[in-house]
Amino acid sequence: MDWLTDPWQFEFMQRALLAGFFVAVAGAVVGAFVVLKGLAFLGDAVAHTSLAGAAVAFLAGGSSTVVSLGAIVAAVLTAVGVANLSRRGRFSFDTSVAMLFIGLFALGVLLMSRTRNYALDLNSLLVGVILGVPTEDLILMGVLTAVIVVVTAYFYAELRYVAYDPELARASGVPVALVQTGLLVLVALAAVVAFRLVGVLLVMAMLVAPAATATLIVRRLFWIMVVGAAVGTVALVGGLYISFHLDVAAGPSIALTAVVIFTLALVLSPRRLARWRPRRVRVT
Amino acid sequence: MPLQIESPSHLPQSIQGAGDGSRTQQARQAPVIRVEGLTAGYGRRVALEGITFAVGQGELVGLVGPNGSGKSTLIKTLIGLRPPWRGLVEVLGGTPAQSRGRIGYMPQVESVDWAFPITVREVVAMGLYRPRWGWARLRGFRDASRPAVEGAMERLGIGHLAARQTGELSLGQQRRVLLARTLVKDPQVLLLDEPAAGLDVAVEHDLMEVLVELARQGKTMIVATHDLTSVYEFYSASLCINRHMLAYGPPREALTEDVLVRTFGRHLLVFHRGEHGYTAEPHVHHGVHEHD
Repeated sequence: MDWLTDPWQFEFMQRALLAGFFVAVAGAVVGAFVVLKGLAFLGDAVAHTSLAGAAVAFLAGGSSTVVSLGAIVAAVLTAVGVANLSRRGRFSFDTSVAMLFIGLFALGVLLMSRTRNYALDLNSLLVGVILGVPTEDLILMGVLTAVIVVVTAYFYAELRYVAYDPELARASGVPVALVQTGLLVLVALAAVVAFRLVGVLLVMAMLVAPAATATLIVRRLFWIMVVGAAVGTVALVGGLYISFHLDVAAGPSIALTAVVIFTLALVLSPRRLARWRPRRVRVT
Repeated sequence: MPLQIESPSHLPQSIQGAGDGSRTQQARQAPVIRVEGLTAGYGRRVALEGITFAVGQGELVGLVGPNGSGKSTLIKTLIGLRPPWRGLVEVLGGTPAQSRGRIGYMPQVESVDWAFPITVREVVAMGLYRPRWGWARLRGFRDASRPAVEGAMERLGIGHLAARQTGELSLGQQRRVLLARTLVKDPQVLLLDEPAAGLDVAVEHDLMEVLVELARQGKTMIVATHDLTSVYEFYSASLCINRHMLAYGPPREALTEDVLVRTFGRHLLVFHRGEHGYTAEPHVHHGVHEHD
């Protein structure tokens, strides 16, 4: 039984577990909307554009926390930019996301190329730092996760109303544009939490896979969030075990575990594909 | 009977509301909906021009016009989602925004995301939504268990579906869910944007029975529709628009062949139905959605 308990004797594994739990919770709460409303591309874009903010902060000589704050600022800018571009500029949601994606990501890579130890840092941003999370970063991510959960809970009725029927929500006095922008910001914040811990490439693993799995198991918005968080946590623990014992990278191990769980649920689910494929709906 | 506040001079005399005495009197005293010289649109495009009409309590008004003729714009103006560019819009004695709490609005069903996981009860309870702040928000979570929700579901015969997901219901049942959501606040005025779109004849007939019953209970309704046969049979008035108002009055008087040609821009299949006057079926383009 040692293989079960061994990993957790190390502090970096304990930290990884806590950090991963934040990602699982933030990812599932927001992920329910991402899966149901087809916002995955935004999550992916934010993961990349966060790089720009992180790069600027890094070049300014910032600490790890400042780098995280840079990423947060870039993420929020992306979400607000997408919301405005797709609403006022008559562009489709995808096109709006793509424009922000290209612009900020290119800027990020450009700035990264100015740094001397470019390769090393880029790598840490690509795969995350889950096995070496500094304490300040851990706290920041915890706070961010708490903010995401509390805001989603507080505005649950509005978020759900707008997601279900924006026309009527508007007629009922819901500030629809504000709620839609807010949802995109929440997605962006969750993407940043995931970005710092599992890296650019694996944000989707925590934002989409657990929530998509949950829609195969339960069919109420609230329970999709809860089960999604549970699935994300299981994927996290499983992935950390694999990473520890097989001596492979943690991020990809977690991501692969999440996808394997999704596949199992898909094969075993009586409802199969029906639930997790959202109808294409404009969200902004 | 509808009340013609002003008789636009370009309308033929025959189509103006004749009116039976009592109702007209009532409407003249306090029309529930009053629109005078309304012009509205999107961006720089004028969607409605010079619309004038008034609706008394308990009227069931069929809003008739081709796709893109401004039907949705008119309804959105009446609920306050679109500002009038010119003219007066008054509902229940106030501006649409002031009266919003007493107006029930059912948008076109395209805006609903049926794939979203939510139960019938939860959707009906959405009709009780109002912005709350602080701890008062917690009361919103009790909306789904309120008697009004139960009542609205029973009224439309969907009580047994309360725990079902709306996405797995039939089209007719989904329409009843949306109507129940509209009714849950017990509004005085109902504005329904093509509630019958896509329904088969039998289901639409069921829906009409519900609407007629609501009119009998004193609800004032404006219903955008493409089904002229139903307008003839069940509605107390028809309002024909195609950017301009082309006719307003009791369907048998207002829906003349001439008016229909001018409303829909082409000849329609029109045939006599004994003393009921004309019945007509417009050639509606299926699959073409209205985006006005």
